[in-house]
Amino acid sequence: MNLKIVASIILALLFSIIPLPDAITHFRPLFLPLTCIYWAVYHSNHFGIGKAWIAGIILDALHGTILGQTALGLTFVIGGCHFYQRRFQLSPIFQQILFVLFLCSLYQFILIWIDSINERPLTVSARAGAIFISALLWPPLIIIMQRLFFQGNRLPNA
Amino acid sequence: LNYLHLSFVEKKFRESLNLSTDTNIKRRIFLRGPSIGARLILFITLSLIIMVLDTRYNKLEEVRRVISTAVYPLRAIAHAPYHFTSDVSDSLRTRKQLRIENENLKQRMQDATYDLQRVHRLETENNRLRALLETAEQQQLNLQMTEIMRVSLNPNRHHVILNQGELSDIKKGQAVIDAQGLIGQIIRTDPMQSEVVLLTDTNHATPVEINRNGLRSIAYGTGEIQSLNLPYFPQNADLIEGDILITSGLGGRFPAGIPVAEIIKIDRDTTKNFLTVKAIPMAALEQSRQVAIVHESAQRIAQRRNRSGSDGIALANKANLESANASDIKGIEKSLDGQLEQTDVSQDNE
Repeated sequence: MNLKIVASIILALLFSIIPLPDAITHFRPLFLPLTCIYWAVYHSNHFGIGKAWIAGIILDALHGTILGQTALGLTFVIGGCHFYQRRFQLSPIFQQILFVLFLCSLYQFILIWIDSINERPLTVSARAGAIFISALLWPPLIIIMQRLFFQGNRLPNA
Repeated sequence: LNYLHLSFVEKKFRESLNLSTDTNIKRRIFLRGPSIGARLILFITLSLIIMVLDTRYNKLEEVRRVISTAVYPLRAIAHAPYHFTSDVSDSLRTRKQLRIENENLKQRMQDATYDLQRVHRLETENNRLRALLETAEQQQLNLQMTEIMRVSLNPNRHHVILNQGELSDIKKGQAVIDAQGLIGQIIRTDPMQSEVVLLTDTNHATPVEINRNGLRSIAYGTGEIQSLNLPYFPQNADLIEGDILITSGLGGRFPAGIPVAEIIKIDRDTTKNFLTVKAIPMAALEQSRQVAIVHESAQRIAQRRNRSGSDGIALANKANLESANASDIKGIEKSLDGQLEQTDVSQDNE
């Protein structure tokens, strides 16, 4: 199980640094938070805040941002996941998308907040766009993760 | 201790019931560890502490170095497709294309050689004149070619990663240029790669002078790739649109004379103290793939050693990169104030 988690996180990190054209690079989906939400919701006893935090630190080093920035955002997101995990698992996919939307906006809000403290450009509208794109990616993400790591069985709340 | 105690109790319990050893069930029933709330608070505090250490005190450069060395393979993988496609497109060119390109290159090479001869003559002449004037000789640039890695960093920071690092003798603080002009400077290195801050980053400032008349100022990054801000030109400054800015060499970070930007817009609003000047960088910041790192020539290092009796070196070592720039800027601001005063005096005289 740990191997699967590490593999998926490495994939997510890779997708976060693959170069995109400048016009759409601001709209890059939040691959790492999405992956972490998946593990925290469906396999919560294998994936806690600690692992998410380490993944966040690595993304910070990869992206050249302040160490701890992404990690702080992920801590909040995974904390939220753990509090609402049962309800999340049982809710229909539409409600899940809304909840992912909420978690991603929390994440982006923290990143924007820290950027504004450090007097960085904010690009709020583009980042808001990234939140919506990420939320819409939630259903395909679940399916891909199940296919990749569980051979399609054990579908959540089928 | 608590853990040991619990596992002991659980072992006894399991033995007494002859339960199967499913570790997951065991963990869920008996060992919960600290609660979610406690963990949340722990990691939030940890992140906050790390962020403060990183931004305010720059204590975590070593940690960052270790992590970024460890994730080098990831970057290499992300970069690989572009490397590969450029290789493939190179090998798929037709003979005719290559011949035309070769022809063009030869022509350009010839032109460049003529120019170079002229430049050599001018350079020796210039140095002789400078010697007569007893000013410092201009040093030659010592260049090392390298490649920008195609990996995406945070789009709100103008940083790029270079394909070479300490193993190729790259050091923090060296200037990075391309064929057209200045790109930025190295802010972080590890054995295999190095990170460059572009001159358009909001935290970057470049000491510059106008090529035409030697007027000095500072060019600040704006966070936009096609724009630099020059906030310190007085209203009566001798500027025209199309002026070329070159590095002034003040502060010792960049060698003098590298093209930086071209002034495109001057807003002479007389209600303000200073002109609003916009410039675009000369270097192709978005397109460049091959860049050059400027090494200090041996002569210049010797010069600096001679000066190191004063606090210059100690200051540069102590302050981090960006604040070193800030101290450069203070010096230039002082000299600018001097200029301002002078111009005021001359106006009074008139």
